[in-house]
Amino acid sequence: MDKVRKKIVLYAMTSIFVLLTVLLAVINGVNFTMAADDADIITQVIADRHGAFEGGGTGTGDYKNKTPYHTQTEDIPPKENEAAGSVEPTNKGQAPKGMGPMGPDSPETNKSVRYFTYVFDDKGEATAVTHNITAVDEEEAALWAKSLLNETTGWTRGTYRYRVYNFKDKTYVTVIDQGRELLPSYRILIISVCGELLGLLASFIVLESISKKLARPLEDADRKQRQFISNVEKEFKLPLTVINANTEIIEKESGCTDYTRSINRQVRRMTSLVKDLRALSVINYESDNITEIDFSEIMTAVLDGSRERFEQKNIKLSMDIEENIKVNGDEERVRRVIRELADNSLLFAKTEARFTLTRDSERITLNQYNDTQLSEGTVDQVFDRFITLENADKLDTAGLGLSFVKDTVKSMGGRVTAKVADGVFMLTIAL
Amino acid sequence: MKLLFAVSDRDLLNSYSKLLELDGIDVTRAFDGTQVVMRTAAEKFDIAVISDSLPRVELKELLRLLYDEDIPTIVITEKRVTSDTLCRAELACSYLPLPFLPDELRKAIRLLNDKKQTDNTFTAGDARVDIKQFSMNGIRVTNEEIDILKAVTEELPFSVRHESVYISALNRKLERLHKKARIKYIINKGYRLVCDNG
Repeated sequence: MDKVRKKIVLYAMTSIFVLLTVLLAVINGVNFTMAADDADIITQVIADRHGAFEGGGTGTGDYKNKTPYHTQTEDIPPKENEAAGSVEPTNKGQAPKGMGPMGPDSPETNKSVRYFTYVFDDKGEATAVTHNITAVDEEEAALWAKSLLNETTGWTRGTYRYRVYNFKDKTYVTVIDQGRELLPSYRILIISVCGELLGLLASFIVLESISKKLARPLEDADRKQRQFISNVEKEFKLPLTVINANTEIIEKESGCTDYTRSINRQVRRMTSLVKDLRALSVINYESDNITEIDFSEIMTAVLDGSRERFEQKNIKLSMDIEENIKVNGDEERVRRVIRELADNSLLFAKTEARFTLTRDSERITLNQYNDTQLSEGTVDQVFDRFITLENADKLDTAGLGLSFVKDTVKSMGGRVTAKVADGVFMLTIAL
Repeated sequence: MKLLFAVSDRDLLNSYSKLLELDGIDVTRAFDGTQVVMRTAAEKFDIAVISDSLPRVELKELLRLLYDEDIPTIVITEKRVTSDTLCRAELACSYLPLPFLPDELRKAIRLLNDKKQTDNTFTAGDARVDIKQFSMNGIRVTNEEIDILKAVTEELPFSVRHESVYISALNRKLERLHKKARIKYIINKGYRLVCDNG
């Protein structure tokens, strides 16, 4: 699969993954929130009744002495239960909102809700109010409830919902088992995850098969642009060479005129453009001259060799180049890259240009800085062919230099970016 | 100066022949390989300028013929000149890629003619360079490569377009000759001929 197709598939798959994940996370999040709300309604009802549904559970009262279960709810006035642990009474005698047939007064509720409530006195002694659960024995339940004394409400051990509340200087801990009620939610979660994976797989198969079609217009456009550049370069260079000669012959035989001088100027400009195009069209072809080259030496040589031109334009050139940095590449192209960066600085720097080359354990980084009049932000469009951002009309540049830089760096497996911050243009090549 | 100018494009042939004649050079025209062979057999030339896309006879054969006749040759090429081009034993003394300006051709002709007139040789590291024969220890070196070798040996600045291509080719040729010397860039000094171990 080529690069454009890979990119299309990658971006589309990432989008689908994010979209599906967000959608399913919302669905499952809402589902679990509603399950928690349902559980809270039940614990609230139990709290309203101070530890047990009416009709009582099967607790032993004092779990240590295994005494018969008794409910304490008859001794407690329903309105006096002050909410220490966010206990707020619901409408007694009515099924709380959302409970439906599982309402607190339903004769089925007591049987279907698996729960236990323990009350703790100020010394921390536990007494079972209700123990209507078989999965947890009373001793374990008492210890478990004790561990929750400093909490208010929440989930414990995965599927157990608890509520802690105070009444008459005693602290009540009610824990209900929501495992069975949460089962559909877990099923939905598993189905969602499987569905997402299957969806991604199906999307990948579809995208992989249609990406060729999707990429074709982009590839065609790119190929046509490169072909055009190559054709222009091929078809223009011979006529330009002839026009150059003919203009000189006319000047020698009939004398110089403004018109012949104008032809000369324009032809020279076009000759320069065609030479740039030649360099750009070369990038289309794989280099057969990839060797290990001394990047540090090449950079030093090219920049040091350009020092005079910087001085002529009153631009202060500084460089900080770490020695002996080697890369695999085509030496001529790499030299050209550095030359293009230097030319770019010469064209656009106002007073100062700085180049650095560093290496850390993972990568080699080349930075080019120069002061600029460009506005802040990323200016990646400077890498597009025939694009110049700053005073483009006044400068004799075709806007191909940085495009060459980008293509060469890309062919070496690197990345090039550009941005403007605090009046400084910064170009970074990471290899 | 007698010059053989051979390109297959008529316009290019006529324009540059005329221009060079106006400069006072005696130009003989050829538009294919066969004519080059015939003209070379009939006349003695000081310099030849030929295109790398002449029909009928292969460039390699033409270059061998001109080399045997001791005629320094400039090759006009539509291709990019790389260090590979220069390292191939094609026996050209200079390459001129299209498009070029008349002054670039004039300069190339002048430099070749100057070198042809001299009997000088010099030593670059432990390699012997024969300017007149455009050779370094028997290997062909181009006009630009000779200029660079001389400059780096004498520690003088030089100005050659695309110097990196020529330096790269020279280093490969020095390596092929098993010489220890290499051309390297020394900061604040420029290119120098140094031993490979530093």
